[in-house]
Amino acid sequence: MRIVRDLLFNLVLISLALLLTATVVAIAEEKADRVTLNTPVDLKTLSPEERAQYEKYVNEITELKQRMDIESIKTRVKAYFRYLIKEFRGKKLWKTLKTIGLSFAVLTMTTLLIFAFGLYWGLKAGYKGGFWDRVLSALAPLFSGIPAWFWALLFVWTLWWKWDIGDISYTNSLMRAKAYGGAGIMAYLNALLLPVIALTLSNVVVYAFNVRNLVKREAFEEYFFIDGLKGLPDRRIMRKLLRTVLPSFLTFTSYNFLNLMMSAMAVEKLFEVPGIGKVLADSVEVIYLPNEFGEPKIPHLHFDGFSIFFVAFVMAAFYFLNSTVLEALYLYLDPRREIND
Amino acid sequence: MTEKGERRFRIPRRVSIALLIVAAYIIASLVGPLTIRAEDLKNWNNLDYWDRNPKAKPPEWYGAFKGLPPSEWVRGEYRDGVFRFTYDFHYSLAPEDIVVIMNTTKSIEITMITPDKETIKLFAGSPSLMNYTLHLKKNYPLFEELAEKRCGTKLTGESFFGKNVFNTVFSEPKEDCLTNPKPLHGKYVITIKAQDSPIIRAMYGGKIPKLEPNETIRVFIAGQSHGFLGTDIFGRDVWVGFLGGMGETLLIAFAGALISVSLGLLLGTLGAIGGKVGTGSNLASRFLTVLPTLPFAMVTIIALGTIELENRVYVIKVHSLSVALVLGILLTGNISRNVRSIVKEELRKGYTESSKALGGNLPWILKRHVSRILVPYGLEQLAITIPGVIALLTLLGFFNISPGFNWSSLMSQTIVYNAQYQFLWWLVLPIGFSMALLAISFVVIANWIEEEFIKM
Repeated sequence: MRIVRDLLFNLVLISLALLLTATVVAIAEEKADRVTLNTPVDLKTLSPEERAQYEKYVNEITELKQRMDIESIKTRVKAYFRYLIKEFRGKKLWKTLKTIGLSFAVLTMTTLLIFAFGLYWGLKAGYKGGFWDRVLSALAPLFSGIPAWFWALLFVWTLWWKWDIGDISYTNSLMRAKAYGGAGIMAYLNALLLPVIALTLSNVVVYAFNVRNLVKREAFEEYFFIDGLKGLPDRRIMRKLLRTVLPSFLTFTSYNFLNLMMSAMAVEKLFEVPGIGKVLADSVEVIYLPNEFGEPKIPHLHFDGFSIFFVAFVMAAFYFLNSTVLEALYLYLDPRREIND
Repeated sequence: MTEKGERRFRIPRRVSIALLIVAAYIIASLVGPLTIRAEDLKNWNNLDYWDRNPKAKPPEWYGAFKGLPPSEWVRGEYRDGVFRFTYDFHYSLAPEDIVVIMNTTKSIEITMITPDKETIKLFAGSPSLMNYTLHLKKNYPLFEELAEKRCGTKLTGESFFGKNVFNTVFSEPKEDCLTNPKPLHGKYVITIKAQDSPIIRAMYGGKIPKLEPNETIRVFIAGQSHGFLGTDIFGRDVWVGFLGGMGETLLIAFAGALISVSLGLLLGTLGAIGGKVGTGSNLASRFLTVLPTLPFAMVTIIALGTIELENRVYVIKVHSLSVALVLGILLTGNISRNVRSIVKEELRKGYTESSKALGGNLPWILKRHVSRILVPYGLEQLAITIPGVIALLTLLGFFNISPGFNWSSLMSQTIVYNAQYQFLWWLVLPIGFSMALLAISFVVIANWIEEEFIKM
């Protein structure tokens, strides 16, 4: 059972990746904490005795910190994992599931749209060539080089600013819907309209171009010529081509899933969708506290290692889910792989 | 005619253009910072330094089309203890602010004579209370009075939020001139002199107080457009951030892509050939694929660097090459997996079997045959990964991680400070346009290299 072996192997790898991530998060959090505690001392103003005493004190503190750091990092790593368990228990469970569910909804809708449009466009461009192939070939380098957040921002400025399509803020959109008679499924879909469109449009070209290249490569295969010579209708040949290129396309999709997730997180932040992207964005920020005159002038670095680790965990879980589904699909579409590997 | 077997090496025009674009960016990143004032570069993170500039304003060249006043220092003259500055106003909007920078301890009086010969007293008081930099737009009691007098708008209980207070000065007096101004074009004379009163005269021994020529006073018009690329929400010159950060951005991008592709080729090739080293490499490349790239990059950069508080701003100080190493390694996963598939496929092919039968060992086969496939693939990946690294770097900026002085810090403005609610295209387009241009150029170069390899 290759799939079971692969799943277990993936689980082990993901667990190790999470352990490493937790360790680095702990180190970073330690540093962030230390910045807020550091008090600069002007050594020039100290007498030689005071300076010697100060340096001795600093050395002792540094040694103590070094000893404590090891303990502290270990403690922090354990605390991150404990925090994860707590997030899925009791009152927090619903909120956590909602956060993950939103990101999942954005990703699922986008993936489905990308699959539908990307496969259709790629197949058409690869098989028939012509205008759509030229458009795709021209757009591919542009879309592969420019990140999704840039396109998302352009779409905000065109779709929302200029044409008043959708809503820029998911949260505001839902609040408005609730105020005017409840938020049904349509209200949720409307609130997610712009993020999903932005994410789909910014990724579909790259996916379609990949399908197009796979189809073009298949065009050199013998069976393709024979099908053409036999006079099979275009639709049937395209269906056959689709079945042939789908396993390779799934591999591409699997490798690109984390990239898509990163884009989705930026888009979530942009459209104020309270998913994992928003959690990550809120986990590192500078808050300005009020000074003696009440003005928000004193900067305070807010670094939430727990939230960062939570996001890393959700990303890893999504990756695992995605790779499992794609692996199963892959085996269904190309059973030879089970034997060949 | 060339001889058989000999091919003339010719660079196509599109590739020449692509190479020129890449070269132009490299030259701009090297020479550009020299053209910017060193003080501006040094104080990029010092928000107080940029306080004088107008906030979130478009570039001057755009302002020229829209009739927006640019930011400028006003020429002045000194005569008999009085500084006079003449501002020629011929724009469709009033400037954002008038900033007076004073090097005097004397109490001063600022008046303005409008083209319709009205004299407006803009300020009277001690400059030391204003830290010697006077932002005239903050003199709200004056503008409340002017709004009532010149525009017939009583602002009791209302604030000036969202309104340009200088509309009351730079427009014809009419009903509602604060919100619907008709610009009053012409020369505005700003007069700055020492404040005079019986008490002040008594302090100066009965003499009329007057400013001396060495008590320098400068007047800055914070316009509705600024510089070559506008300003961000802190008033920072975007051109400084764009050109100043270009060098570090390109260094991280080139080094990161090189690390990513080299490591990907190494891990992928070793992973395909099996054995203990191969298994280890395969494991490493799979491990890199499952790492949660974004949060991992964020925390690793902090862990490798230091966080310092500079002028009320937290700055992450980390060596550019460390950032390149982190991003490069994190982008290795997919490349190494693809390389592994390519090498495995090549090693399964008939010609490889023939080579083995003829006595060729694995290193020789890899060098002689597989490298011919891997080199163009590697170069193509290098071309794709360079914009990829820039994209990841700017993405880090979105999540409040701006390591060093590069495009990530500029980019972060857009999202971190909710700039999506303002149409600040000049913050996004220069970087987006550059990324697109570089991406297309690299893809053109990569395709050409691939074509050349196929011909060989």
